[in-house]
Amino acid sequence: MIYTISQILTHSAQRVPENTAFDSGSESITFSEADQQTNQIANFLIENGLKKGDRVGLFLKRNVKSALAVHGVLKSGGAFVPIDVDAPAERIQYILDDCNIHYLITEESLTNHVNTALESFPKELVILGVDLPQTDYSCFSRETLHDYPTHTPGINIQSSDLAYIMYTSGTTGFPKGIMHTHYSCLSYAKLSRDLYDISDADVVANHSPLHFDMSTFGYITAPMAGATTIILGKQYSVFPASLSQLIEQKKITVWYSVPLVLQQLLERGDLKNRDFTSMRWVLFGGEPFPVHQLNRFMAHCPNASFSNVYGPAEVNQCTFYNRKGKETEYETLPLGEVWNDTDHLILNENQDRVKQGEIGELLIHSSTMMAGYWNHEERTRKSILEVEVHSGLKKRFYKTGDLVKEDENGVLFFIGRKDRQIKSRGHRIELNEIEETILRLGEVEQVACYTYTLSGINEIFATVVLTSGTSIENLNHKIQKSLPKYSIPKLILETEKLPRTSAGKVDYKKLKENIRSIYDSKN
Amino acid sequence: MIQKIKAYIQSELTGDSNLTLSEDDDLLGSGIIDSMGIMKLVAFIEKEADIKVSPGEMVIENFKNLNAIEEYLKSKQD
Repeated sequence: MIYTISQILTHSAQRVPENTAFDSGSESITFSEADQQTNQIANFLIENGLKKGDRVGLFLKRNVKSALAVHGVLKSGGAFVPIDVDAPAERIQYILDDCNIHYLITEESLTNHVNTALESFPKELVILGVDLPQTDYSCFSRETLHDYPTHTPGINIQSSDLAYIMYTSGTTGFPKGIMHTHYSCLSYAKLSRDLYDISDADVVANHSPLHFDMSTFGYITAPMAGATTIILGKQYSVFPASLSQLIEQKKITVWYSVPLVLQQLLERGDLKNRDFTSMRWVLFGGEPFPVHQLNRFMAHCPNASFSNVYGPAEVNQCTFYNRKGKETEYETLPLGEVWNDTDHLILNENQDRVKQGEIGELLIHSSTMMAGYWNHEERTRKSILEVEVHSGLKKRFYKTGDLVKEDENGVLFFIGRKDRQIKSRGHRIELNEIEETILRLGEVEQVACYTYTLSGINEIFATVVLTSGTSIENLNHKIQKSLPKYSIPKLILETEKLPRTSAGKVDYKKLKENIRSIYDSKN
Repeated sequence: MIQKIKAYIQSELTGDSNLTLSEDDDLLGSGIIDSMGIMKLVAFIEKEADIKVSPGEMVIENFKNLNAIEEYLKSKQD
């Protein structure tokens, strides 16, 4: 019986020791080897002073090392904190500082990235994986691990212990850390394994970076089932034709990614020359996938069922819409039905339940729910609503901020975001945060950020009133340095005056119409 | 040709003409070129070398580093 996700690798190593656990295309490792090597990582951390609950930053590419680091940290009793290696130094240091990270696992090929990210970072750090001779940090090479025992460390880990913290953008302009415990993560792993019937015969493709909650499927669910996880490096996002080659070659049976990757495969994946008959599940989520593209993709996977996955990172997954065969029923894919161990409510602004078919905010109570936001009790409290479901029985519901409606069969449909938090290419982005960041640069008087959908993709745009004496080039240059890539506006337009509604608010509708006319005239 | 491509990557794609780039440096995994960058690079190569890169040739082995690009271009001229 598994009680915590730190037991997953050991359990699978006993059951299917010679199965490949993780494979990046260029390197791979069996469960037996992975179990031993993650024990070495855990023992290394413990001997270097790690105490239960300590946070360990993971600054790694998408490869086998990243999976070993995840499970090594979990076995040590620590909580892993994935860090986007491409994030600006300011954001990386904010995360390190915010959750008080003293341990960092990275790799030699990222030496330059680490150097840049840690520039004048004043804290003490134990770093595994690179040598930084010009710094005061305690650095250990990867080879150091050979000196540590391969047995499981004797740490008593409880299901309520913190397992990981994932940072997403926050409304205040600072990222917020979503805390998941061994219990909430294990619940997700069991629910997702059972829903998609994952077994040790499966080959699961993980396309998500570790700082993205979708990665828990490939890093946790699949190894729990004894399946092989193919960890796809970033180079595969750049070359869809290589990606499709790998899918065929590795006989991938279960796929999970944002729709964008499937769109790229359709456009540039050379699919007519590929054999995807091994595929039995294609999962996608993070943002809407247009039905016509889904139907096109289905034609290439004759044996696969498809699943539209929905859930904010706070609850990981909470609904699914499964489909086999061409989608003909809906013009837009529904979020589907709520999965096991999960209750939902749809409430109006007065926090009363809406009538069936009416639009309201979706609230979720689930075993997969986060423990809260790191260091933000107030924010946690605001995100949760306690509801008396029966007399005397209160349950905690997470307020998703997503507006939905439900049909007579219990199928949920997505209507929009309650505030202006958006999803673009699977990343959750607060438009207000982008505006705040741009304003802080000092190059603009006013700024309005908004989205417009181009060829099915939610793109971010900005219209600005520049400070006199500066230029769009200057602004663009500064923006590149201060925003994560996925929140950089696709196009920044200059104007003398932002359009306003009669109430004096920025007229986003007019701004979007302007974008439409620009792109219409291009075509 | 390969020098031209190297200069293009340095000046247009990384925005850092001082960046030292050797022939076997990993262009993809190390983040030197992202997915937008590769589209620009392919367009540049198509124009400069007067070739057409087919969808099936848009694979990692052909673009992972400068050596690979050179090999690929040679194979196109044969």
